[in-house]
Amino acid sequence: MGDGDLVIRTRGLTKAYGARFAVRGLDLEVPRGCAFGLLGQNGAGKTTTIRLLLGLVRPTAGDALIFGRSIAEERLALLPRIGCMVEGPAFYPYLSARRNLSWLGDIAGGVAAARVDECLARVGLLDRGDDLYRGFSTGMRQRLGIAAALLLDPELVILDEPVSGLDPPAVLVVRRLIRDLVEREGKTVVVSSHLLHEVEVSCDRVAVIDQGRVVAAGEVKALLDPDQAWVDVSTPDPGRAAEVARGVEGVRSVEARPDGIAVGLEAQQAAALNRRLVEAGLEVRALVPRKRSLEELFHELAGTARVEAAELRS
Amino acid sequence: MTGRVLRLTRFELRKLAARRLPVLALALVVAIALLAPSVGRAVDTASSLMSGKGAQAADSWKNGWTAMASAVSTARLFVFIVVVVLAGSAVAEEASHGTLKTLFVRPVRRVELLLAKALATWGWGALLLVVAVLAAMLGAELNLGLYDVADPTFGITKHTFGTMLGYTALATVVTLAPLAALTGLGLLASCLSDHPGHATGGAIGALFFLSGLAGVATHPGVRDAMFVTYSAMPFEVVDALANQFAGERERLALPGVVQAVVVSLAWAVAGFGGATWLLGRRDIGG
Repeated sequence: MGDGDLVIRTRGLTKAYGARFAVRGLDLEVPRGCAFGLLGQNGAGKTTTIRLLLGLVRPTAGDALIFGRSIAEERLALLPRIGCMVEGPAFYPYLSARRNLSWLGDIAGGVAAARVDECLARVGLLDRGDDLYRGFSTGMRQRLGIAAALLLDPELVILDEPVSGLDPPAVLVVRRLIRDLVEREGKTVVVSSHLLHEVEVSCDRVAVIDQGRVVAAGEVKALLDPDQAWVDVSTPDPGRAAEVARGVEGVRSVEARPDGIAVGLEAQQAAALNRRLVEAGLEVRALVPRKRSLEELFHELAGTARVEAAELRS
Repeated sequence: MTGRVLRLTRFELRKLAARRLPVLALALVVAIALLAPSVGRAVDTASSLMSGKGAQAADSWKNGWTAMASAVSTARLFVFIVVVVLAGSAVAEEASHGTLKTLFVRPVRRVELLLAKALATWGWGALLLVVAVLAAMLGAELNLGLYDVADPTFGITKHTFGTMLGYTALATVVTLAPLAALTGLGLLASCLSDHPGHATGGAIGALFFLSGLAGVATHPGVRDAMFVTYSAMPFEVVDALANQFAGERERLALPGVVQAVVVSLAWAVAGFGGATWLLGRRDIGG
């Protein structure tokens, strides 16, 4: 992929607060015209990464290129092309939603009243536009934050935990909005989330972040490789079943559950697993193959990365 | 850059006008300045009556200009406190509410935002001061009348109405300089803490400390180097002139005015520079 196809490119991006690294040597490539998920647990470094991408914090090392230009050097020229919501929305409580958007738009050179209404309508707040922000619920505030991100019709939209605090209907609105922005308007949308399902259903590509590093990146479909399957085994003796499963070739991981075990393995090894369990005298009540979820992938990748990091340190 | 600063200044002024505190302060300043001459006159009259001198004795040396200067001096203290509160909370409140990052993801430089905040806060303070002077003049006119200042015993005119009006205007303009210094000091405090209460308290504390220092300093150089020295001076001169102390006029002559403005602006620039340095080094939202 050429640099011209990349909306975001970071090389060795690092942010340290004293001895603690929030982001450590982050290499990220976000192609144009896709929904890109930044996936990680709380504290993994997602929000710091977004702050670095927006120039809100200065990197300790490395650089971030947005549309091929350094955000550190050309922030003023780049920001009109970026719409974002970082760490939850923040507006003036004594102003109405409409006035908040309108006045913030004025800072960037002015936004037509019709555009403000259009953005409010996209997040379902048009009829609440004249209400004071201080009276808004968490979900309404979140939606107003998304509306503010869209205000200047940016090419790149960055949303930090956009569905956090939203009720199910609002979650659906946001998911649809993200897909519309990408598919109908050709925008690039970066969504950070610790909600794995959200990234799975909203995004085309994903980077999994753990402890400030990218531990995996690629297309969501490719990362959920059908050959890398999981099998749920129902058995009355999960402890012994787990021991036996760990000895089967091609098994990556085994998780004990109250009614059995979940085994991560190569799909073609499912039959071998069943045979070994039966040969060991275990009662196998059910063996259900399924696709690896992003959550399981995340735990696998994060775990692997931690082991590698520990090995490097030692 | 100028366009962005002007847009930001307009944004900051609109925010001030949309809030309760600045608007309430405007109403209170009008009330204080307008009513102070009446209250002062009532107190003087009561004092004279109690001392057995009679009601008219209190007014023998008083005139509309002294009442106006006295009212402005009272209102000015209030204006200064309002400005230091607004400047002290200007950045800290945005940081505390998270709106600082909302602003900095827009195409603005940090120094531009600070400049806009400084201009808006100082501008609001200037508005309060001018309104205070106008309200005090109205209050004085209604109570004692604003005429030529004349010797009450011999009836000789010491200062004409026009002269006194000119000195009042000059005093108002000169007072804007320490107001700018105060704005810089408040912004500096505001960039030192993310807690608006701490920042505002720090700014008020610094103001009192500097006032105290200027008050107890024995070396005139120390007093002259404090912007607080020049905050009360202009209307003290107007009051002195209205009381026929012609010698006070020197303090509002060109060298005195230049000194007041230069020292105050130096403080304003130092405060603003410190605030810019602090905000420039800060990680936003971190």
